[in-house]
Formats: sequence, C-alpha cells, structure tokens
Amino acid sequence: MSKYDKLSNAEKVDLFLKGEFTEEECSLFESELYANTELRSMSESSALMVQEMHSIGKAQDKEIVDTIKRQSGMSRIRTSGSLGGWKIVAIAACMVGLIWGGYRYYDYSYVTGLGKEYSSALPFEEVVRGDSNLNVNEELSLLFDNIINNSDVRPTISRLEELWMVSRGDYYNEYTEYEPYIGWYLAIGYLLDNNKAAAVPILIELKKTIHKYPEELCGKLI
Amino acid sequence: MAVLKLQNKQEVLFAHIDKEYRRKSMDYLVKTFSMELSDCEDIIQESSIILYHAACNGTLDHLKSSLFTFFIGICKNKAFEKLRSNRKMPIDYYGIDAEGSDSRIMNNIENRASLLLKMIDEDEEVIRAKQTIVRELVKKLPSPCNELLWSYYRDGLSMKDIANIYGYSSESVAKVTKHRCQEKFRVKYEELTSIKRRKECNVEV
Repeated sequence: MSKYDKLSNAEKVDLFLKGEFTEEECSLFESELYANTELRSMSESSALMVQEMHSIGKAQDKEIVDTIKRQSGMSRIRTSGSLGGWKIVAIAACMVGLIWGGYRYYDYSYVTGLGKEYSSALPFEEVVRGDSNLNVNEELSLLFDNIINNSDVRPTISRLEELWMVSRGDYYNEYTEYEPYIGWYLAIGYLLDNNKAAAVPILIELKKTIHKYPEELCGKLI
Repeated sequence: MAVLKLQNKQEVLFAHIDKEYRRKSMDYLVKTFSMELSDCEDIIQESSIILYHAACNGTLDHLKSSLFTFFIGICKNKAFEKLRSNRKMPIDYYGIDAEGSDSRIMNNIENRASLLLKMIDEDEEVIRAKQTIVRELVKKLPSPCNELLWSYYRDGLSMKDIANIYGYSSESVAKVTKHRCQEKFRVKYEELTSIKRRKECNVEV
C-alpha cells in the first residue's frame, strides 16, 4: 500500500490545500475526486470553508487595524511637534498597561483551560444504568451537560456540592453509586470557575477510585 | 494609568481581540520556547507596540496573512532574539523563516481552495449559493472546532503550534480532533445543501 493510500480523506484534502502532494499524488487525488463521493464532498466543504474563513478573517482584521488607527487618532496627530509625540507615547503606554494586566489572565486561562480539556474525559454514558432511578439520571444528565458545555456553571456547582455531600453520606442512598462522577464533574466545574483550591482536594479524594484522570489533573495543578 | 475608553462595538472588538491575542501568544511562547512567564510578557508587550505602529503607519493595509499570524511572527522573532541574547541556543537553531513562510502558506491555501473548487467543476452560481450556507456554518462553529479550524486554515499554524496554544496533550490529539471537526462540518454542510436542493425542487414542481 502506497503512502497516498494510507491517508484519510481529511488528510488528502489538507495535503492538497497546503500544496504538499507530489505530482503523482496530485494526479491520484484528482482521479479519486471523480470516483470517491466522500472525498469529493470533503473537498468541496473544506475548500468553501477555507474561502469563507479567509473572506471573514480579512474583513475582521481590517476592522481591527482601522480601529487601532482610529483609537490612536493618527489622522489628527502631527508627526512634527512635541505635543503630537507625547500623545503617541501616552497611547502606547495605555496599550502596555492593558497588556501587562493580561498576565493575571494567563493563570485564569490555564486553570479554566484544564477544565475544558478534561470536561469530557469521563464519558457520561457510564453513569446510566438500566435499573437506576430515572429522575436521578435525568438530573445528573442535565448537571453534567452544563459542565461539559460550560453553561450555568455556578448554579450547577452549587447543586453538585449538595449532591457530593449526599453521595458520601453515612447511609446508602440514590446518589451513592454516582459519587465518583459527581465528584469529578464538581471538580471540573471548579476549574471552569477558576477555583483551583476547591478542585484539588476533590481530585485527591477521587484518585482512590478513578485513578487516571484525577492523578493527571493533580499533576498539572499542584 | 490611563485606560482607553470603549465606546462602540468596534472598540469592544478591539479589546476582545487584544485579550485573545495575549492569551494565545502567551500559551504559544511558554510551550514552544519554554520561556519564563516574565520573558513572555516582555515579548508580548514589545510585539503589541510593533503591531500598533505597523497598523498606524499602513504596513498592515495590504497584509497577506491573518493579523494573528503576523503578530505571532513578531513574537517568534522576539523570542529568538531573547534566546540568542540569553545565549540559550545557536542563532540558526530553528532554521525557520519566521516572517515569510506563514503568509506564503496562507496565500497558497486560499488559491488552492479555489483550484479545488474548479476541479470539482461546480457551476459558479451553485458555488455562490453554497457559499452562503458555508458562511453561516463558519460563523456558528462550536468550540473546539472554531479554534482548531480557524487556527489551521486561516492563521496557517502548524498542528504542533495549535496543540501548544490550546493545551492538547500532543500534536496527534489535536490533529484527530481537527479531522473530526472537519467531518462534522462536512456532514452539516451536506445536510443543509440537500435541504436547500429539496426546497428548490419543490418550488419548481
């Protein structure tokens, strides 16, 4: 089997778009376009997507550049004269100030990024059991979906906090079997809310039952 | 210190883009060059000022690459300078043409997309109708497909850079996710174009 034959349709389209096919591979690709409807469909949708992205992207970039020019008031600043020069320095200083404030944003971005990355690590399908309480499943489905989709995070965290306590109660109840999943999604919810301090103790607790992902996440957070 | 006032939609857009560029560039610099956070902040500050001046003096009026690609190119150059001045690696360590390659790839990808559509040999009017559908799909791309596809096809970033910026555990994981996104896009595109075709057939009848 040649190198070309081992490629998926998406890989073939990308290599063509980036101009990384040899002449022979280009011919093979062109022939296959007529015979392979899936490749043809992938090619069409990807090529149109590229065109639209470039069209939209160029318009957006132009808007940004025009906004920068407008913000600077460059059309009114004279390059000669110390007052014009001071205005440029002041505006540049403002930009530096805005960017410096971005440092704190990085830490937030890292923690919440981990939340997003791991939000789907434990497939929710595992929670659903044939003989389990349907209301509990329904509620948990909704809560876990909120975490995965990063929506209504704070109210979801509040409810998961309650269920985490209940599931770990002294007596067996309808939430007991779901304890690891409730804990996991609660920890992820904390991360999405940039609350590393609350997430870590739960992950440490979960390492005893779920092993892999809480261990990995702890390694990245501590 | 003085803060720029945000008064209208375009100024809000500018502030949002500024935050996005900082976040992505910071992740990129930390993971690609293993630099200290403080060095990365310095680089991003200097690069922002260069971008600002380039915008003001008209350099960006005929930009061939995306604005973000241009910005990350400046950051790359600044990172190399920093590493050379710290004597951490030889001058040609990466051997990369930090300025030119991204815009060449970008221009090329757009041209090759047009070529591919010609090879598929659809009528121009049909293509224009499909472009409207695609435009709406592109604007509504969900995360992470939005970030992956825009970074790859518009910003021209490599899968390695994309993995670093968006925190994927490896280049392969990012690549597989991107391919899945491409497939989802194709399926949605097929669904919408066939609905449109059916509607047109009904109208004709």
